[in-house]
Amino acid sequence: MSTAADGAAPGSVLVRVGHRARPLAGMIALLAVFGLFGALYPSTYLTRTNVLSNILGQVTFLAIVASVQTVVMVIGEFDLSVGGMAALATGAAATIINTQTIDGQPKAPGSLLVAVLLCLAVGLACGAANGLLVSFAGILAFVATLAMNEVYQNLAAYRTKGKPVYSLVKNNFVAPGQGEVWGIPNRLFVAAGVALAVLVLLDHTPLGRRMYAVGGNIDAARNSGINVRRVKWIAFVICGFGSAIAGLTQAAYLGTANLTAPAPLMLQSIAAVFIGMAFLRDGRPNLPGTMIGVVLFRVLETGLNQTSIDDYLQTVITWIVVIVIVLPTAISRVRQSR
Amino acid sequence: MGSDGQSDDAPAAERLTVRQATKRFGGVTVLDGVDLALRPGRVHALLGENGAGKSTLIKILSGVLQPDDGTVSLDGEPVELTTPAVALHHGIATLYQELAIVPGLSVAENIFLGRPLPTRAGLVHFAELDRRAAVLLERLGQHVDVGRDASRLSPVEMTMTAIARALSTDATVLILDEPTAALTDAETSRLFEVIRRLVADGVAVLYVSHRLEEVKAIADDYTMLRNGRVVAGGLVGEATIPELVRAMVGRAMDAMFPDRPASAGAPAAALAIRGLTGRRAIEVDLEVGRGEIVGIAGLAGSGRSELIRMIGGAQRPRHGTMTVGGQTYRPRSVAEAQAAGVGFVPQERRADGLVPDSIERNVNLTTLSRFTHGRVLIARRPARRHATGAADDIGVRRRSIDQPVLTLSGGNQQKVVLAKTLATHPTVLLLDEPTRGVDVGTKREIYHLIRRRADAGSAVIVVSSELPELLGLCDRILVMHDGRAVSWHDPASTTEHDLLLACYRTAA
Repeated sequence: MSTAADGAAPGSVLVRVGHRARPLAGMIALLAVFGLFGALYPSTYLTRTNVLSNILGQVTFLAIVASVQTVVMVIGEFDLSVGGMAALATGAAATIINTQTIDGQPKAPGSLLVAVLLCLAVGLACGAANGLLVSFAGILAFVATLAMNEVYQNLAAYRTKGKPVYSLVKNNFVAPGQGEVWGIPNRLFVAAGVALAVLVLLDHTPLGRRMYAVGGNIDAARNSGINVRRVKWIAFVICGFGSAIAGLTQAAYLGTANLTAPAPLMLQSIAAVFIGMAFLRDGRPNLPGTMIGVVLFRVLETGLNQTSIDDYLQTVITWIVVIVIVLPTAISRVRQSR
Repeated sequence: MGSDGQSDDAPAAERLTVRQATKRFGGVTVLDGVDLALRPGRVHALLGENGAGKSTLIKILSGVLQPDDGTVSLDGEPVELTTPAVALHHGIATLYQELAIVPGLSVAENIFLGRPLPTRAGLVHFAELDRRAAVLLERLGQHVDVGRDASRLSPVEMTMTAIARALSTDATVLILDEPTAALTDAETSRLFEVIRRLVADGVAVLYVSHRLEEVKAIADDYTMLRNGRVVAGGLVGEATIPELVRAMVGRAMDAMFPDRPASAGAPAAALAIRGLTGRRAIEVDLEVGRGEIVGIAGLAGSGRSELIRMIGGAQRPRHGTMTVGGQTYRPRSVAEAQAAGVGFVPQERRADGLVPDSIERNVNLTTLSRFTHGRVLIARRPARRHATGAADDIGVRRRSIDQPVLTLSGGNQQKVVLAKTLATHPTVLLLDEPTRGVDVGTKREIYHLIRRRADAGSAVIVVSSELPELLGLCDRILVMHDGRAVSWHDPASTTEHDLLLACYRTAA
């Protein structure tokens, strides 16, 4: 990672200090928002339960999806089908390990191992299909993943007759999904594992470097002997795989495969990556930034929940904050290209 | 020398005057008390190596940057050029190297881009638009179909369109930044005709170019920058090219071109192609031996670039066969070409050669799999050592290996692209315009580097529109015309004139 001091930093001392502080800006903003709500509601906000279960516990699904969304955005694309892929993958698994049929009749659950493997396989297959459409057939990611999202979402609904799949098997699935170790929710470990894997992938592997090269200048990447189509395809496959993990973790936590639950993750994950891009001087998607974006989102949400502000206005405020965060980077880019 | 429209006795009053312009980026002073004076009816050349401060000065004059110190005056009145729009309003029009031509719009629409279009009943009056565009081009002595899609124009026609756009704003100062970089010699003469017409009309032209022969041909005055300061200036007619080169690099240059090794009979063929055909190139046969540098000359569109793109795996041939080191060679991508030992350096370094990242990450793009722990994780230190070594070998001037490549000068960017390709140890090295937009000192370094690779046993093909470069560097020169390989030339017994005639396929 190049440091802020490397570039030709134009302008005043203030601007230079600003550039140097940019990588820290995310953490500072996060602590500021957290500190604000902490000071306002010390007895309810600054509790272990609120921080661990309510803030971090609730961002796990978004964190997983945003991690793999980062991978796709590094190659210069985005994936609008993460919600659909999560729904289809979990729907496929849930109908194996439910203890009552969709019509409410009791039934013996099938093998958990088969269900988990099927879920991940469906995620991989969906991601592979997206990747084929975008990188080999050359369809714009916007169109391809938007259409495929509908395909996946409605295939899932068809499989479950449009209903949530209730009463998933408790042992080894829902129990660990809701459990915790040393007071830390288990699902947080899953999210941390996915984030760590993506961090290593992007920053420490040749594939990650190739991904940044493809996203940075696709022609230069091709002329450097990088198999651009394959790199793009792999990014989409990873995104499908991660979406399946997110859906599965969510189903285990809820005890139910609610196929519309992952849908909001799509826009939020893209927003989180954009927030993270704002914290790097060269504005590239990066995993640490994405994670800050994810947590910031949730800190804001839970904090606003403590206030008496109207629910709708809370959402208005949250998304205006997203705009405010990405604004400085956007403005400096506009000024550079003037 | 230059335009004949101006009498030499009393120079006209200064149209544009720069006094003591100074610009700093962070702690670096890139312009240091620069003076410049442009007079109507004269062409003023702005010279200097990459990184000398020419671009910064142009950006100040075109309103993109503001000087930290110093003044810009027009007809003696100080002006604040705060934005490009303000500069245009004051009659200063700038043509950058990368011409702002919008593909998909017609020539006429491009000429009037950003300006009010003639309307009839609220709708664009296209006939009137075309008529006005044609009038402007007529002033340039050009007969271009103004209704054509601008993306189908040749490079020189694009330049003409951009100049016509400048004229449409009644510009009295025209800044041309490397206007001939993409032009062939014939197109350059066509451009010079136009410049002479404009100068005769009283326009003041600031002409930026690395090509000193051209400067001698078109410019009246010159200002030489080095490290942000004016180091020389005066009448072009009173300076010789060697003098200009010395002033530019700040020292006498030893041989521009490396010596050719003594010929040792026909070398073993490293690359052989038979009947290679693409969209433009037709049935080209070619053999290049180990240690040999073959130059390819030809007009733009003669198929020369396509030929090496096909050899380099960047484009698939329609038919024909190739062998590398005797093995059948049929690359479907640059990756496959690299695996077979063929390295390709594309023409446009920014668009096709560099990713917006650090020097290290660019240099290492071709060798990512080489420095790993168990093929999974990047071995940071060996990778970094490799990049540093490669950048040192090729002389990339830098503050740090982590410096973003896009903050390097053009010559150093080109060296990064070369270092990246050379890291694959190619036995066949393909270079498309390896020194375009590169300063004289760096050109010399690149020529010597190419010869060293050849001496180390690589077969090298250089495509270039600069004929002196081909004559100075290559062992043999192939001329292409209309897609076909038409003639071979021995640089020792060929003049630039002969080569040019061959490019046009005209009898001498």
